[in-house]
Amino acid sequence: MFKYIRYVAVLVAFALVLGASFFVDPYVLALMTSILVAVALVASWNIISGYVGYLFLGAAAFYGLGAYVVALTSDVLSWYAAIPLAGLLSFAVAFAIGIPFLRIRGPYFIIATYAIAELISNVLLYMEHTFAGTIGRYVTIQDTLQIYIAISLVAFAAVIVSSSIRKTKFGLGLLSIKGDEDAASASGVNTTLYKLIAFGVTAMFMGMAGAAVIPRLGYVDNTIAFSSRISFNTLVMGVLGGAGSVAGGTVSAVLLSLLFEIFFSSAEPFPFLIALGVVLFVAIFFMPGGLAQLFSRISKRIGRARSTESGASVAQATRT
Amino acid sequence: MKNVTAEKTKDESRRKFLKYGAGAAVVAAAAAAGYYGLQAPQPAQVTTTTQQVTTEGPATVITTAAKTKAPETIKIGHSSGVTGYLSAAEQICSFWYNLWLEQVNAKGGIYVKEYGQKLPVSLIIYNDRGETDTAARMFERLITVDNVHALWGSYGTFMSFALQPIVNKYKVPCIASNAAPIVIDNPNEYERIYKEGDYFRNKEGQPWYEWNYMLWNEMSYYHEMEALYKALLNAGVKKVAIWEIETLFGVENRREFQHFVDKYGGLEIVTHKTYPFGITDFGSIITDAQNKNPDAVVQFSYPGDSWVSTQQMIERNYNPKLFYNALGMAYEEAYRRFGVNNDGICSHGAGFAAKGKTKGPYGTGGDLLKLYKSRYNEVPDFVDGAIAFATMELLEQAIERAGTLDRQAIYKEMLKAKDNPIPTIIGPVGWDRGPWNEKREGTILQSQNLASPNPPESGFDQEIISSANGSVAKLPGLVEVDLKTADLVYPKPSWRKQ
Amino acid sequence: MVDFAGLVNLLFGGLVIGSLYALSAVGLTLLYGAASMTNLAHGEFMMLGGYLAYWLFTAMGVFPLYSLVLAAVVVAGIGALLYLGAFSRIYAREASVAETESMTLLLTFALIMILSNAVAWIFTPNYKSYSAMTNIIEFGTFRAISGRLAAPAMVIPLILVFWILIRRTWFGRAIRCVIEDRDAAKIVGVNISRVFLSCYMIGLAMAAVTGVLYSMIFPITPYFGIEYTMASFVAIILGTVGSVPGALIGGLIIGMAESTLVYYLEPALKIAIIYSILILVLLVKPRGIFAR
Repeated sequence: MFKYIRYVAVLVAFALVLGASFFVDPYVLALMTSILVAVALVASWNIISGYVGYLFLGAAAFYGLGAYVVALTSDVLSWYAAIPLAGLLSFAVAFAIGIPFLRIRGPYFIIATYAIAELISNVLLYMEHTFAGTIGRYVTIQDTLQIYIAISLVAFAAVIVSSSIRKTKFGLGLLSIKGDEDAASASGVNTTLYKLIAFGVTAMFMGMAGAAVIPRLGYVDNTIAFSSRISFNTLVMGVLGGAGSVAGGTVSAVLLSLLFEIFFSSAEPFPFLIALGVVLFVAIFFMPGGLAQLFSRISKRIGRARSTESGASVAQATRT
Repeated sequence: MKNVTAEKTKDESRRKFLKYGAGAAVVAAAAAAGYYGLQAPQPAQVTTTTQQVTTEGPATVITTAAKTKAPETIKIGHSSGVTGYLSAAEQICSFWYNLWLEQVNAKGGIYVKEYGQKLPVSLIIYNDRGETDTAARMFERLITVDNVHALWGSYGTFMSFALQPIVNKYKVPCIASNAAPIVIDNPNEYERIYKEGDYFRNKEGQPWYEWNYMLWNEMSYYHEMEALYKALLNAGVKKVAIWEIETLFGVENRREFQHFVDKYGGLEIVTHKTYPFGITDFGSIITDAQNKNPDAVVQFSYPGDSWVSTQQMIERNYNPKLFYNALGMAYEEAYRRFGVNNDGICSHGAGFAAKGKTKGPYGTGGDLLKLYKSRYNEVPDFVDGAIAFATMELLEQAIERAGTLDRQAIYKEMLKAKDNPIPTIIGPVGWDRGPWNEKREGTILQSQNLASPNPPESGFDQEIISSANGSVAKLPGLVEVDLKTADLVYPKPSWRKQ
Repeated sequence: MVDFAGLVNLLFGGLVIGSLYALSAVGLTLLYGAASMTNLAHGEFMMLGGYLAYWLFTAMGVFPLYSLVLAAVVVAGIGALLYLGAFSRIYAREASVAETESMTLLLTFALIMILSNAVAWIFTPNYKSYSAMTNIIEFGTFRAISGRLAAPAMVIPLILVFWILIRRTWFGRAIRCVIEDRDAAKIVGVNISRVFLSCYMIGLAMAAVTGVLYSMIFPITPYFGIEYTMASFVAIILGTVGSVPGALIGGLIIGMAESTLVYYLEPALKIAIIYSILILVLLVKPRGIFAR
């Protein structure tokens, strides 16, 4: 019975999210749009960083790519077609980049992904400036409600896909790479292909997220589309939520986005930001596994209290 | 065995249920808290005086006063990058607009005829971190949640591009301060609009005043570059080097300047180098200039790179006969770093020259300079900060002229400014052919007399050495007044020991 | 074609910037190579040093070269507090190296928020600079502002001295032991926590000294740190993590690339060029130039 709770919960949440758009004021709608972007980015980030274990600091690269796909095809292609195109292109680019990049491990991978995002941003600016004679581009503006629906779809798709992967053979393969890559390879998992696909799926959702929201602004340039804060925020939200936990990541994305909005927006933000930094520091220090660790601690404690004695001791013995 | 597995699955399901349940509960709680927290009225920018609001106006105003109840304050909204990479610029502007706030509230506020009294002003300011989507969201908040009466925009042209659609959608008058967001990429188009007596139109052909609510405080860079072009020609410059920063500001300025050179001749561009924002070393660019030997170096810069280039030019003892360094030189940092070596350097004149005669309701630029120095104890920025102050003067007078706080009425009043320009410390403002200000000359400043035995106080060394408003292309409909306060010193003095 | 004087200036420019990167990199290689501290806030400590120098000069007239020592001492103290107060517990949890690295990454991210906003609050985000050591020194046709000369003149001897110490002294050997193989070092009897403590103090102090030198040449803002952190990571990866000469070379390479190589290619592509170098090295020699 509890097995289906997950699907019901997701459907209910989706309905709520969509329904809310009808009776909140435009500012809250705009805020929810931003929150959904964060959710989409973190959920997809979890695939390469949570399951495969390669912490990724280049979300801006694909988000920006998606945004530019829309910007560059503004005149020739309908926005509805541009979004999946952005996704496909991001997948392809990630696959291509991944072939050399996914050989790099650990913290080097983090730095390298940051580097590639900055590199793409720089090259794009250069090409725009030299060949198109411009710094930024105009984008046909779309209705805010349509953008909201688009990003909701992307976010929910990312969450569903990302959490479903875990149960599949593919997902288990990814987790085995995270555990011990060489052992996984030795036991027959095609680690290269798996990593590439994981990376590609991550990039696909990130690209679609960028494509979905950029028409809100009417104007895009490389600092807007490839802003490094996108990468940093995604990584921090993902880790705080617990790398590998889609639920944790989603909650963390929502929570941090709200916290940023409440505290960052003030015209005198500095004391709040300092306080936020301190809170983050303390939270990371005591809860390195993120929110997911917190949830499982809480649920374990409740579970332990409810079980019968014998059940509890046996359950404890068999608990992994 | 079976019992254990059953227990285990039940435990796992329970754990999962609790995990998702807790998660959903947290999300819901956070969302609710966020929603209500954000709906709470934001603390308005603290007004520094507690002067009593005095009622003014004729006694027969009883009926009007009884008609509508006056709001507590006039609310003017603003969003800008208090943190982030534009924070230095916003910091400068904030000193100036807070100075204005003090001044306006010290005299009781702005007189609004509809209520027959002066109302104090409060500024509602949000931090958009220099992010366009955040800025758009903050504007939505200002318009729909805080219900501001007027707005002024975020620092930076690219930010204004993002805010324009919001402002136009809700039809709220907004001044684009420190920004030049326009879709005229081609200076020839700008000239055509004047020559044919046309208006700036959108894709559907509608003239701008039917759909565009974002009005510029600044003018098109066209006229500044026109003034620069005239100055170079008058000085007898033949060869020019262009150094361009790779941002919108750099591109647009250079494009306008190049337009004059290409179309009206008289100058030769011997080299053109672009450099990225945040450049740390001008070595190669200076070497290139030394090889090409231009008479004038024209650098379209930002504060930051403008100092790197100047410092290295001093180091290498490279002293072109004319050095135009767009932004950053009329600035406290520049005086502190370069002292007497500021002498002779030209800069972007969009701000005010202390010696200039333009004045607004609070006095001339020189008066404000003295006030600023006495209040903050440092030399202000002459460009961005001055523009910000002028924006506030502009809004104040527009509201006063409109006599009401209705957004549409304020906007309509602003449209009338073309026949009755609004005076500010950087010059008169009025909009006619397009949403850009056309009532003011483009000017170029030069720092002078810093090495004389009685050097002027920093700030008072800036002289206007060239001004222009359409004379080069002979644009009809524009009035050009000569605002020069001194002649250009050419060649510029050599670098001195600091 | 560039004439000789122009070339010398180009190289000097690269040397100035390169020495700043180099010192920062040496500090980071110590922190990351020996203590597994992925210090995202490295640039922020640099910024602290810069602001200390600024404040000491403008408020109290302290000549920047003295601030080098003062900033080093103050930030070393902060480093000690950070280690003893918080970071030491992480190592005590016996977590794997990878976990330590990711924990420190996140903790230092929080530090970035705290430090940069604290400085912005106190000093405002506006550009700050001061005019010190602006006299020009001439060697024949070559001229340089003494503030710019100070950078390589201070950094290179400092790194050399440090390298000698790390090779010759007993304690330096202990540090190298820990860099090479932490568990072996433990077995041999090295006091790991004391090594870590010194790494924190020395590494962060080096960042601060870099900041002081930087502030003599460039204007500072509270937010300039992150790009220096990234550049430092590029430098240490280039030169192999844990290698002091590697960090020096790596830093110089980046500085030279930024100044000289960029001249021959395209100034606007500066970032792309530098990061391309990094990516190429990572792909060809993933452990860095000095890898064994």
